[in-house]
Amino acid sequence: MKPKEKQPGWMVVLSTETRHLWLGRQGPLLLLIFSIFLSLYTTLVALDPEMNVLSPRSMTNVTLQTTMLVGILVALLLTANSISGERDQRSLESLMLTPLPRGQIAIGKFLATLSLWLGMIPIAIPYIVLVAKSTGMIPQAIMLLIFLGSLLVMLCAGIGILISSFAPSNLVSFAASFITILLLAAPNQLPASVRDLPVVNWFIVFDPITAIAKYQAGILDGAAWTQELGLLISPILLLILIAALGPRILNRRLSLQGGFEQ
Amino acid sequence: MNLKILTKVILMIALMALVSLTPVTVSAQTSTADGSVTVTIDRDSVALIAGDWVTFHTVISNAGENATPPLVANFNVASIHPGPHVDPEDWSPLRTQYIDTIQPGESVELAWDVHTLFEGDFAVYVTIVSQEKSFGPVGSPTLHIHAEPDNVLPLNEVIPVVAIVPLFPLALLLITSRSKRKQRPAK
Repeated sequence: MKPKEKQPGWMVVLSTETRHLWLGRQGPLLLLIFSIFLSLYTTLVALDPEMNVLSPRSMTNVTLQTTMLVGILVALLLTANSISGERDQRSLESLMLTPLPRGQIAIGKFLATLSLWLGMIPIAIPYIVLVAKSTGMIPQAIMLLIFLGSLLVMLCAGIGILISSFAPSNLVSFAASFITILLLAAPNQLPASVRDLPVVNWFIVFDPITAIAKYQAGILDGAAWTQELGLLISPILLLILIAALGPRILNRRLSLQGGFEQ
Repeated sequence: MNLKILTKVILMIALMALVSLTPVTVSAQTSTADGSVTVTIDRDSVALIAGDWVTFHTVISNAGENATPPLVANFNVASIHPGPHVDPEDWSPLRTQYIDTIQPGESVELAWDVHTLFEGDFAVYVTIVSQEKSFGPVGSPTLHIHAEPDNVLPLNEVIPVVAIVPLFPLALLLITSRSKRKQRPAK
């Protein structure tokens, strides 16, 4: 009889964290809050005369952005708490005493967080279909939610977990994670005249979050999927960088106290 | 004697009234007084759905004998009926365009993008002014925009979705709570 293969370390952490997230009611509760938020948002948009006369494409874009923003915030909330939370509760020591490489602990926690986003997608789809119905772009909107939303959530979760690994406390981790994401997303709020400046335009292309927003707006404006594919280079590169270097750095530098010292 | 004085007073008053009522003539002549600079617009009306964008073009021509000073073209929009508050800043990403001197017989075409934010009837026009005080403002003909309302989200379609979807995560929450309660050892 063939002996049972040993599970990789990250898989053990993933199954433990996923069980804790979903059976510990945290996941379903966050999904309920997410759906109530989307219901309130959609009702308010339907009742607001100024919002309800936006072009269907603009409204689809705004709704997709809002849905992804909530996904990012929830992912950030969980990942920013993942390591520094253990550190605050003094349970990180026992986790670090396990024979698992420290990078694999982070990978397991990262993937468990993504399971929540996988639960958020089917909840968001009816709202997106409702808003995108009059555009005739329902498949495109759903694809954007799945692919760009997942890319954004993975990026932000990766940033959150890296910050959480080095933050000395949960408070620092939350503050640093949210400020980082706010700074990366801020150029989206600049007036059109400023965004058209060449320097700002280049920054928007290199900033992974604004580049994704720009690509999404282009698709909803009728651009082909391949037309502005260059905009996805910076987010994909950053994600590869986080995935390739993150676990290695954490293997060597994740410590009980936090900080960057080995 | 008294009559003479009275006649003089009446004459003086009449003279003063005449002087005060005579319109004061402006000595500065505007370069547009002869109609040498004209603005035309490529359409006079457009009907669309609120939220849509419309692009129109204006042509500024100099039919005079002298070159114009550098010009400033300014876009404006107003609601024809009282009620809606129209903020032109929100209706056009580029409200002002600057033009160099236009030589005699030449013209310059400008494109304008307008975003109709809500339903109603609106008058859109472009005014040409200059840094030179002698240049009087020149207005374009009006483009009339009629915007029909377009409710992307009718409430009767919204209510079923917003009411039903949260029931799924609620059911999931109840199921997980129940299974967790079952797992606890009975006291």
